[in-house]
Amino acid sequence: MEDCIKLHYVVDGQDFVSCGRASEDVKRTLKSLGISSQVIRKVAIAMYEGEVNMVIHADGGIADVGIYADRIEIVLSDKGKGIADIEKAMQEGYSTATEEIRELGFGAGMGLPNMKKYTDDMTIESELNVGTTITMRVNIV
Amino acid sequence: MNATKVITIIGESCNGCDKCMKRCPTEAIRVRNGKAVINYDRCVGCGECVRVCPTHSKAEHYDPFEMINDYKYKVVLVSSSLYVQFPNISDVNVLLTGLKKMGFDDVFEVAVGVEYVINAIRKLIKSDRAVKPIISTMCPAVKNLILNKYENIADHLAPIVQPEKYAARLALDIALKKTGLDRKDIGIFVITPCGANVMELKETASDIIDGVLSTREIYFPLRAIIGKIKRDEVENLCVASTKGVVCASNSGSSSYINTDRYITASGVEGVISVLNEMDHDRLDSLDYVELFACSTGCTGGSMNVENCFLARARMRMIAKHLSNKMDFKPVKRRSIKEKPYKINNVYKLHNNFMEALKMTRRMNEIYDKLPKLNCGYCGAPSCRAFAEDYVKGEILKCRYYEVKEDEKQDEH
Repeated sequence: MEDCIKLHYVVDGQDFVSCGRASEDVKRTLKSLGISSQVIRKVAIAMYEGEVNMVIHADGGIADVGIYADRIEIVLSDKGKGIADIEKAMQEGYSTATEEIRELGFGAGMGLPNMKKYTDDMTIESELNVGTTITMRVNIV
Repeated sequence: MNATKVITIIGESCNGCDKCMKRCPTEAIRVRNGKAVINYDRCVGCGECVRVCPTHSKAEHYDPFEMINDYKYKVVLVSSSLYVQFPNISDVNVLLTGLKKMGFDDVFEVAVGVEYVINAIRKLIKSDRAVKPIISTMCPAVKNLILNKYENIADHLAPIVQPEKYAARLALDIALKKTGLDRKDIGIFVITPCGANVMELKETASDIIDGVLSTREIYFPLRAIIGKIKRDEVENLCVASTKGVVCASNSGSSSYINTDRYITASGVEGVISVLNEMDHDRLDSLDYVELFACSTGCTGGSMNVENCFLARARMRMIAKHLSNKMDFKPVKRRSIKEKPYKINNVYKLHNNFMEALKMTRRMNEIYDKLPKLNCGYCGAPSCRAFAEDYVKGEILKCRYYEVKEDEKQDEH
C-alpha cells in the first residue's frame, strides 16, 4: 500500500461558527509535513469552502483526506438534497442558499467555483435527494 | 530561523508553573524538569511570557549600556515610546537633551524613520503593485508571527524596512558626514521597549546598528538627569512631526494612510483573530492592516516602565505640541525597500518527507487517544503539542493516558 496519512472528519451540520475545523486541522498536519504554503493555502481554501457547502446545503457530512507523497486527496460526502444542475452550480455567483444564510455572509455562489479554482482536479457526483460526493486533488509540486 | 535569544529565563526563580507556556502564541515554551524552556526557533519576541510570569523569571535580552564607551562618537536612536515614560514632560527636547547629557554625542528620533515608512506604505496602497491588504511590518513580533505561523499570508507583509533600521541608516549618514570619522569609530545605538525589536535589529541590521539598549535600563539614570536640566540648557533637538510620533501607539499609522479601508488590532489575541480572518480570505476588500503585538502598540512594549494606557494618553498630549511637518533633510536618499521575507518552517517534523509522513501519522494516532484537556501537566501547552513532542523523541508523561510503543506495531 502506498504510504499516506488518512484523516477523517465529521462536519457538524448545525454549526456555522466552528465551520472550518477540519480544514484547520488538515492545515496543521500539512505544516508538520513541511509542505509548501502555496499548496497548504489551496487545500485549506478548497476544503473550507467544501465544509461550508455541506453545512449550508446538506446538514453536514463527512470529510476524508488522504495525504500522499505527490498529492492530497479530499473526499467530501453528504446525504443532502443533491445538486440539480451541476453545470449551473459551477457558475460564479449562482447559489441556491436561502436568504437567511446569505444574511450570515455565506451563499455568495463562489463555493464550488473556488474549489475548482484551487484544486488540480475536481469531480462531482450527485444524485437528487440521495447526496453529493466531491473528490478533489491538489498536487504537491 | 530566529536563533537569537530574545527572552532569557532566570533559572533559580522559575518555579515551573505553566502560565508562560499556556500564553505563548507559537507554543514555543515547554516545562522540563520543573523549569520553563524556550524554543527560540519559534519565539517571535512578543513578550507575553515576560508579562505573565508570576515570579518575574524572564527578561528580554539587550545590550549593556556601558558598551557605548567603546566608540568615539555615539549616536542614540530614540523610540517615541520613550517620550511618554516620564510624568510632566511635554517638551520632547528636555528628554533628548537628557540623553546627550547621559553620554551620547547626538540623538536621532525613530519617529523620523516612521514618517518615511508611513509615506512608503501610503504610496504602496495607491499603487496596484502590492498584494492587498498590506500588513504593516512596524511591529517585528507580528512580522515574525506571520512568517512562523501564517505563511499563507506572508505575501501581504509590506516590503518596507523597520522604522528603526531606516532611521539608523539616516543617522549613520549624518554622523559620517559631520565627524569625518571611520565607520568603526561611530556607535549607532537604539533605545527600545521591545524584545522583538532587539532580536530583529541584531539579526538583520548589525551592519548599521552597533547596540540595542533597553528603555527600562536607561530609565532611572535618565530620569535623574532630566530632573536636573535647567531651562536654558535645553537644546532644540526634536525634528519629528506629530505623524511620526503618534505611530508608536496603536491606530496611529492608520490615520495617515489616506484610506478608510483599514483594520487595526493590538494585543496578541486581537492580532491572532485578525490573522485568522485573513487566512480564510475574509479581509480582501481592505487596503491596510495595522497590527501590534502589544496592547497599546509600542507604548505598551514590555521593556517600558510606565503603564501602557497612561503612556498612550500622554502620547496624545505630547503630539499636540509637535509640528505638522518634520524638520529633516537626509544626507543621502536611501532605499526603504526590505529584502524578501523568509518563511520559517518551524512546525515541520522532519526534512525527509517520508519520515515526516510517518511521524505525522504517529502524532495524529497519539493525539486521537489523548484526553484533549490541554491541562499542561505533561509540560506541553496542549495535547497536540504533547503528541508533537512525543514523536520528536521527548520522554513525556500524560496523567490520563500512557503511550505504548507496541500499539504502533499492532496497527501496521
